[in-house]
Amino acid sequence: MRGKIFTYWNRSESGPIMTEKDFDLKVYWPAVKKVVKKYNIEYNPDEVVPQSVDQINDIYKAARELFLEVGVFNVTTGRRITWTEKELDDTMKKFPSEMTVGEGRDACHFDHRVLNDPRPANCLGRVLGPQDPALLDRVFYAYASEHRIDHCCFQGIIPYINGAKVRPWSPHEISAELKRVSEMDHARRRAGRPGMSDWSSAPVSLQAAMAAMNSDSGMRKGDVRHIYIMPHLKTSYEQFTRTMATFAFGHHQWGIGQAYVGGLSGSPNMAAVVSCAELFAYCMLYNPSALGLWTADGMYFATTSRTALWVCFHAGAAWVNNTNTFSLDGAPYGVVASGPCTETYFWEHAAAAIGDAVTGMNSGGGTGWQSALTMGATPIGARFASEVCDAVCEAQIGWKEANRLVNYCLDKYMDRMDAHTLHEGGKRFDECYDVETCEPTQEYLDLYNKVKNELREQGLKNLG
Amino acid sequence: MAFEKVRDAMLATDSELVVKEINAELAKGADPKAIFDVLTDAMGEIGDLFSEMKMFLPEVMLATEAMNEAFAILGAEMQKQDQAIENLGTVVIGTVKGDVHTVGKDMVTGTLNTAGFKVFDIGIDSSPQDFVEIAEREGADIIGLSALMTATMPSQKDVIEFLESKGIREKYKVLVGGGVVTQEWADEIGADGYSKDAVGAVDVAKRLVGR
Ligand code: B12
Repeated sequence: MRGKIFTYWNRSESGPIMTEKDFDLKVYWPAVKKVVKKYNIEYNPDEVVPQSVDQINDIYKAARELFLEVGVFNVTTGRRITWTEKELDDTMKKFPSEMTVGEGRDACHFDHRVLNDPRPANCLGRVLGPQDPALLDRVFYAYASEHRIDHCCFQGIIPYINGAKVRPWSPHEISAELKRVSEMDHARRRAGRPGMSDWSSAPVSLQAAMAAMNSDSGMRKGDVRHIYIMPHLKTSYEQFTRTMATFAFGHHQWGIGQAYVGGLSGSPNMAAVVSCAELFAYCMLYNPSALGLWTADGMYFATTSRTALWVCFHAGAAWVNNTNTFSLDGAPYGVVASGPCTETYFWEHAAAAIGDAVTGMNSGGGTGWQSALTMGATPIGARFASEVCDAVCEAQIGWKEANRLVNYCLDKYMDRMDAHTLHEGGKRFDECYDVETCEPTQEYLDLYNKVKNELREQGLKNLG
Repeated sequence: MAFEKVRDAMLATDSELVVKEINAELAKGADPKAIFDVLTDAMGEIGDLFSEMKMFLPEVMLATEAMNEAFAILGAEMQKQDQAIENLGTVVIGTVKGDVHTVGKDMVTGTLNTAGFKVFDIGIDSSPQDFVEIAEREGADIIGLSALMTATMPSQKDVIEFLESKGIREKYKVLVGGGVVTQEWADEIGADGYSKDAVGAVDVAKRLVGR
């Protein structure tokens, strides 16, 4: 165990007591405003990719100060857990700079990456949103056999089972989780990658998650489950309980710094500081084996908007340049707004992957339609993002050129995102993938190649 | 501009200052209704800035607090003069049973509040009884139900069926939303309105109360 997390958990019983609203409005919000002002962190919409090392270092310093001042609010006990500077520094010094998830030769290794890292990055695939239960194994197999994806969140939601809707804490939730885990395990075996790590956390109840948390059901110790920090800088006993359950079975935990631009995290410059501070919270409370950034807009759920990408790239670069932890998974953290089989689906993935590459993060993708509509997950997005990311890393294009390219991609879809219509259109998995071979249709491949060609014309000549 | 200081205090989302400026104006004999109108306009401005992501949720929450404090003072004054405070309608909103996602519901609370609705936010993981009890107590016009997960969409239907079972379905307009919710789902469960986002929620809510 790095750091004394149980000692810190116990501060939930002794820290300052207050209402959640007072925490939000009287503790957290004034502190966010203060640190952003102190370090004069400003949002420049034209510079989506950071252009100044000083600025990202300031974001890091501001995040550290914010975290130390505010701590984490435990909503169960109504108390604030806080840390001394020394405790934070001691944990961060010992925090692993490498981590392996998954098992055997299918394991995925995360080492520390640096800004403008020339090496290829890891790739996260995510199956999100409701799925047709009859086709779940097809979708999972398509992801498991996508060779670019080296760690995968097989989180497809099963809406009904045994003739009933799957509702939280119902027995059907356990059935659904057992089905999901066994289909996931079959898919990865059939794809010849039994040790590929599964990162899903589909059930609402911990009981349902725990019912499948054993090797008989198909889950492995190399798998990873989500523990969360709630917006913003909040936790609960339920999260500690989840953490204990993962410790008990001996598998891993993942966590993400989140931001809702316009929501409680405020403006993009504030949100970057807040999401970076949330990464500290994970390190201090949950002993995570994987970290990432899921930054989104608050009015229209989008991880690839100008503001959401600004936040992700700035927070990520701040963390990468000032800590020695294993690498982060960056934008779009598995989900875009466009539906599958549209051109903009690829432009969103490209914008995210380019910024991830130059800020030292891993790429990924897959799910469309804001992960809201049925059968919206296709692995080709992750493949494409990984190819773009690795090409950018290899070409060493630098921040200025990366910023130009990201802006080029944004121009392809920001008007529709601003109008809240980008999710319209697109095709379901079974309309744009052959459900027998689990390969994309020619129509889908044509769009993929079109965007690739255009990126090559834009200067990314080594994009294979 | 009339009552500029009151307006500025509101835009600064400073409830103490709002109260101070209101009291100063009332002491000068100002018409409480006129002050109230200025505050309502300022809230509208805040709502527009919020929709454009130029003002943020914590500020909207602070502005709402300031508005509530102003209500308390101005409402009492207006009552003395037999004037009534008008709002667009009363909304009881919450995230349904089993679901703790709060961000989207908070955004909708923000836009409805700033548009001039009186909003009671009952929080997360709320049962049909919770919604109905507060709606009855506050004489709500609209019940707003947020659900973010496939597994909790049926909880929206539960609220509608609970209203029906009590024979009070017709008293309320039911407005549904949240990431996974669609117009088709809203139609299927017999909701009165649906909106994909917090900005659209205001238009639909206005339509539901005939404004
Ligand atoms: C943030 C988040 C969380 C946070 C929530 C923190 C909080 N206090 O709110 C945390 C980490 C706690 C969390 C937990 C879980 N989550 Co979650 N979460 C999200 C995430 C990333 C964003 C949600 C959000 O805030 N969006 C931003 C807001 C602004 O958007 P919105 O809520 O949709 O609201 C807008 C509109 O829908 C509309 N609206 C919203 N409400 C209403 C109401 C009315 C009346 C109207 C008119 C309009 C309206 O207006 C809003 C603004 O425009 C989504 C991903 C996604 N695609 O949405 C997953 C997501 C909702 N979560 C999901 C899951 C599975 C979970 C967990 C089960 C994970 C787990 N095993 O632990 C738990 C469940 C906890 C529970 N019991 O509820 C899934 C649900 C999948 C599904 N189809 O069922 C999603 C979709 C992620 C995914 N892609 O897989 N989550």
